[in-house]
Amino acid sequence: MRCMDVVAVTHRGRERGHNEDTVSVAGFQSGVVEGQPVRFTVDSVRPVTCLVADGLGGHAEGGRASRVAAATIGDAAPLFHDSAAVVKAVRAANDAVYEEMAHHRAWTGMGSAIVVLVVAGDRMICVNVGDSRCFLLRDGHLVQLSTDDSPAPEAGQATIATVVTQTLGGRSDRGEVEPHVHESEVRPGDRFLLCSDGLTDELAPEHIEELAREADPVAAVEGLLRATLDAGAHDNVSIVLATVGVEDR
Amino acid sequence: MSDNRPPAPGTRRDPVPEIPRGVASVPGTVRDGAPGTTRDGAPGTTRDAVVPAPRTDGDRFVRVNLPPALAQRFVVDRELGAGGEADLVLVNDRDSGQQCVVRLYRRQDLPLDEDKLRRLRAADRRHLIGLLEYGRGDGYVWEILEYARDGSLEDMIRRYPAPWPSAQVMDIFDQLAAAVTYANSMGMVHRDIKPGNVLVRSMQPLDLVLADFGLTKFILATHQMGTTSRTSAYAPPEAISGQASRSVDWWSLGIILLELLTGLNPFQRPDGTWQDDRMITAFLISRDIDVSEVADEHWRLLLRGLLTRAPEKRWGPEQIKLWRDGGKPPVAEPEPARTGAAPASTAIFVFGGVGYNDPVRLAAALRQNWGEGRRLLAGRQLKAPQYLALKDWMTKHHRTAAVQALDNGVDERPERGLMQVIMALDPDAPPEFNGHRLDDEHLRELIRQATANDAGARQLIDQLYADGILTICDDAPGCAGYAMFDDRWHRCVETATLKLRQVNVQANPNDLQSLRLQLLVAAYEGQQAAFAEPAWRATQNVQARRQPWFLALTGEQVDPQYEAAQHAVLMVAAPIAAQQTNDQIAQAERARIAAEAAEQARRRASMDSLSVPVGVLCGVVALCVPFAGFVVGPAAIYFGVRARRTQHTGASTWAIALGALGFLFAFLQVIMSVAGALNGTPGTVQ
Repeated sequence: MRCMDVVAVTHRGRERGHNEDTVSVAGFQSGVVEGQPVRFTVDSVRPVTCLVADGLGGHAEGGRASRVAAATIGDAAPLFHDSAAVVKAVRAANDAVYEEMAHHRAWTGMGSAIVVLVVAGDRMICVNVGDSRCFLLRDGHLVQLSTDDSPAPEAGQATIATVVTQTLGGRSDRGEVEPHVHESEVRPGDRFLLCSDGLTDELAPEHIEELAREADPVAAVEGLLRATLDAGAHDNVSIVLATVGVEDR
Repeated sequence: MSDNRPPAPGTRRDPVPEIPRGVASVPGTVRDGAPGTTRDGAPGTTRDAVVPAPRTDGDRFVRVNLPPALAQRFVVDRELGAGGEADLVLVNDRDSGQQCVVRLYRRQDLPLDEDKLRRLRAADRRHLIGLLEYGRGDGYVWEILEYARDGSLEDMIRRYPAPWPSAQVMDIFDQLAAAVTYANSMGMVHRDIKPGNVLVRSMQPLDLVLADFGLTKFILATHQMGTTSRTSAYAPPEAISGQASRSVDWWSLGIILLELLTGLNPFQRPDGTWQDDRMITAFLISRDIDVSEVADEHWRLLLRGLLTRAPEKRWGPEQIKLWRDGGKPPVAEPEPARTGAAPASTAIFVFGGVGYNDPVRLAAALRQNWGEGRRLLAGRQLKAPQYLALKDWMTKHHRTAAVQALDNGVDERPERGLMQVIMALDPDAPPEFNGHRLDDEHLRELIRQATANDAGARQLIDQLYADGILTICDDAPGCAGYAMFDDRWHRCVETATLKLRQVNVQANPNDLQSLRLQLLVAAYEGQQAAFAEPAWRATQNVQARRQPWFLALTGEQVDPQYEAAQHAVLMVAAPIAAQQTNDQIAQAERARIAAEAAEQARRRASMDSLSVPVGVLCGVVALCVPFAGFVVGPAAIYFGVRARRTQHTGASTWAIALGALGFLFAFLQVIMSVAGALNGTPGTVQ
């Protein structure tokens, strides 16, 4: 039977006072202030769901939005056999964030970016809204599977990293989201990296690729987190590293 | 289509009654044919002048049995292919070892066009593949053909996807035009010219010959030999109605040239798949072949001349000669007005966080940010969103060549794909691979560094080899002739590694790296013999020559184009052979020492076992014979101790004890006699 080896961590970084990110692995959810990497070995007889939700910074209740979104998706996770089910859950999470917003006026406008990875048998589904990313490390190449919701720059211009075109919640009036979906085959040894923009804004892709290649997944996550903190960690940073087991047990 | 015709006049479908089943009496099958048609051929026209090394894999499974008449003379090497009516078998001549191909039709009621076959046998080998013999018997009809080891033009295209540089296409044009002109002048029309029927007799210099004339023309199904044959994609419009004319072959040549110049057959989709015959027919009936993709005007003129729909107006040998001399013969149909360049797209592709809408700028960015480009192309296998976006963007910008590069890419080799895309986006830029310029001057510098043992340079050269990068650079500024150069390199390395495997040499990765580097140097024009001297020195290695396989290797004759490979093999193999000899010597020395030690041990053991009775005997003698104990006692002890090494410990104990007692007894006897003597003397004094 195949297993997934998942290491997850979330950290508030060096500048933020609190952590608005939420990571969730197979239903276990965490949004602690300064976490240590936690390792899970998940039996993949049923679909395995990992996600990173990045609450919108600058809004007081970003953390609340990310936790609501993560919980909504986590509740629907046992049914994630195809991408339609995952997209439906992400839309439900969007609705849940708006419903939560209605409870308190101060919570208006809270929102979260999200990236969800589901490994079901030998297929993977990646769904994302916003600028949290999912990468696949295969044959030593780190390939981005998620699609950033960034405004298209003009020719010769750089993208503006701080602006996203859609998030779960994030507005005062209820709106719909169009999640990006990517599906492909999974091979033993594939390693997925889910992260908030706290990681990708601090480290160059080359550097992330190099650190993620580290054979021991805990060491890899620790390396990524340390490098981010060393680089300044201006935002909350969350990392989920999911490795598809090689040998059958 | 054109093959589906009644047999040519003068031939009959029934077996010819007067032809007996034996071979020798069938006309045209006598081994000593007319001058020039004998198996040895004119010098330089056959590839098999050199007798190939004896094959070791003689027990390979072969489905096809040769009829007895052929089996007496040939040993089957392997099957080359099979079709509905015939099998192609590669055979070795039992006497001369020469390789040739037998095309074996599984029925013998085929009429033979004796006249045509005779003409083919006598045909000029420079243009047509050699038909060595033909005959019938035992339920088969067969042709024996010259074997072109380098395969067909189709194989070449597969190895080096078109578009090819103009000079190379011109070379191919010259050879094929001459061959078609020659065949037509002999009164023969091929009717099925396609890359699969153009055989490569040698790569360096390029020597192409037309194949598949002859018997096949009478059989409907044989052109479906193998699965990749495409007949209708190369057939002219008039072939649909079954018309045949001399100009059929010129149309086919036109299609082949168009394919080589644009990279795609007009009936091939951008993803490399083919349209089916009905679509091709429908197209040919109503429309002209579009040659506007070919940028060069002179080429376009030739293609329009060859691809003229009306056979009587199509170009023939005279116009082609005129065209080749730089003239502009008239074309029947006017060239359609070229549509103006498509308006530049405004689509933006985001790479490395920056938006691009200019292919040349994107190419520069890809060159600069190689790692990001590599990750982008690695997304091919996964159909990653960014990869799909790139493809979409290039389509919008009408970068067909670049899109094709993506389609023809290899999942496992993203850097090869990246190089192809960069070259397609900006063909005028000097090629650069991961920050290293690859034009002739820089490549030579790189080789110098690698020769000076620079690890980075050596690794880069390995990568150039594995990814086939030099072929991609072909014809870019400063990279003229790189495709042929790369081809020589790859063939030599493949030949050398194959040879090493054959002689069972396990070269270490470092040796293989050096071998690749050395063969890269030798791949330069005129450098084939660059390593002749060190290779010769390697063959003189006395230690290495003591290995029979190495000795056989040094005596091997190879094709001149693989001379460099042979040199490299010798240089890699010599130290390994020498090491083997040293190991064998050391092994023999160790065995000798061990044998000596064993002999000594055996002698001692036999002495020890002899010591048992001798020890006991000595003990008894020492005890029983007065005074003998002095001498024989210690001897008994000595033998007793030796005897302890055997399993007779009891006897050994007896021997030691008897020896000791005997000695003691003798000692006491001496004491007593001395004492007796002393006592007796005073008595006498008193």
